[in-house]
Amino acid sequence: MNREAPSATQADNRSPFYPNHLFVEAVAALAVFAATVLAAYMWQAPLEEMADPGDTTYVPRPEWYFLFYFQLLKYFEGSLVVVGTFFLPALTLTLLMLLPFLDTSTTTDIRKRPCVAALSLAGVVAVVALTALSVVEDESHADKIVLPPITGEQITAGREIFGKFCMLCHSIDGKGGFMAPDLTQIGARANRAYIERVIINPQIVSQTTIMSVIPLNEAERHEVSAFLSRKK
Amino acid sequence: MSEKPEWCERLFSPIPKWVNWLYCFGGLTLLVFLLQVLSGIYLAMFFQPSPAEAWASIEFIEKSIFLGKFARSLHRWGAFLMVLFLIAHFFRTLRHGAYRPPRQLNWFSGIMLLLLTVAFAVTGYLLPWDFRAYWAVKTMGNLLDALPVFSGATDWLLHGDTLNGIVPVGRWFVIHALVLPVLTGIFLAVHFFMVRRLGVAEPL
Ligand code: HEC
Repeated sequence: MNREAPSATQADNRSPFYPNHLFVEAVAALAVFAATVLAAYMWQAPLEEMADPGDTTYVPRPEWYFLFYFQLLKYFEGSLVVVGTFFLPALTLTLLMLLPFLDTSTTTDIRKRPCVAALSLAGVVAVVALTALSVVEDESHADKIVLPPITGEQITAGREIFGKFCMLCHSIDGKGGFMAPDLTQIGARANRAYIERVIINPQIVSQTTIMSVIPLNEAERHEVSAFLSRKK
Repeated sequence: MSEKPEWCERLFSPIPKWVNWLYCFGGLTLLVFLLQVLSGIYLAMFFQPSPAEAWASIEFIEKSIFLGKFARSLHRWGAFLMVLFLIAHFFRTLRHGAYRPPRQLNWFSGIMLLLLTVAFAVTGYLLPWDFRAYWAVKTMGNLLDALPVFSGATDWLLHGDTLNGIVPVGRWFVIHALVLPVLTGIFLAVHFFMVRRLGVAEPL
């Protein structure tokens, strides 16, 4: 694209900003504008449940452009946390700031600026790889729970399932076992997503819990959680 | 004397022929930023910056306000695209070495704008005060605690000095909707002034 440029003189080498370049900019701007409006209309922004400090099981997921950084932070633990939160960002920033003084080449040809090319490529590869890793690890967590709205039938069915599978250990309204916490007011201290996560993986309550994974299917799980979340 | 006024001369001054579509990303970032300003102002009209009301006010915006859901969605997509175009613009600049003298000031203001965009994204993420926001604050608080120098300051930003110890959604809102836009305006002015003054980087 800029191959023809060097030999030409300054004057031949210029085209008017208006209309030539402005036209390209305008077309791009219009396309982007239309695409944004369309996207905003078709795919609406999510709003999750209200913040609940009681839920200790929620896995926070940042926006896609921060995924790589969160993945990176996973590798620095304990006293090394500062490396991820401070030294690496500071180093990157310093490097970027000093770039105009470090790169003393006089050509735009990227092949003749191997240092910049190598560093940029390394940066891109690192960010892409970390993002990919983060996505893969997130998928394997598979704790994305979609909750259908609660109905009366669900609650009735949930009560039955609870009596069959859970009351061996848990008590509710003065009935049931006493090997596990009373759940009469569970709905007041936990939300539905939390209850579902406990059913899927009881170890999130405590590593050594005696509560076992109860083989409920998705619909049954929704029914129990609907029933329990209404117990306040 | 030229017939046109100087600003016109400057705005429409010829640019090098080799400028192609790759050079659009800076302008597109600006366009999306302006969309963010507009949709942001609209959302700010109805948003209640307190931990007790933030979430409810957004639900209200989505359900009851004219074009509310659309405005919020637009703001979110805008954030997404802005990051995307910024990355493209950044690499275009790297590739052409457009950071080298005499364009250092352009480059520095550009980096500042990049950092400001990150700050916009972080503070904006917290405002709905939903599950994600709560955990983002917890996570960041923990990480920043480990910092040697700034731990006090950043932790204060996230948790400190509030009536009843309630999380300061209002503080992030002031930063998101006032401090950051003003700073962005300043650095944008520098950025554009330098582009107009020095022109587009040429192959040497
Ligand atoms: C083998 C006994 C046992 C069975 C069966 C059992 N649980 Fe549990 N559950 C426990 C114990 C014990 C705990 C407390 C966790 C701990 O500290 O170990 C618990 C904790 C819970 C909690 C968290 C309570 C809280 O306060 O955080 C929920 C919710 C729960 N169980 C739901 C259920 C449901 C729903 C079922 C039936 C599908 C069920 N449990 C079946 C033993 C059981």
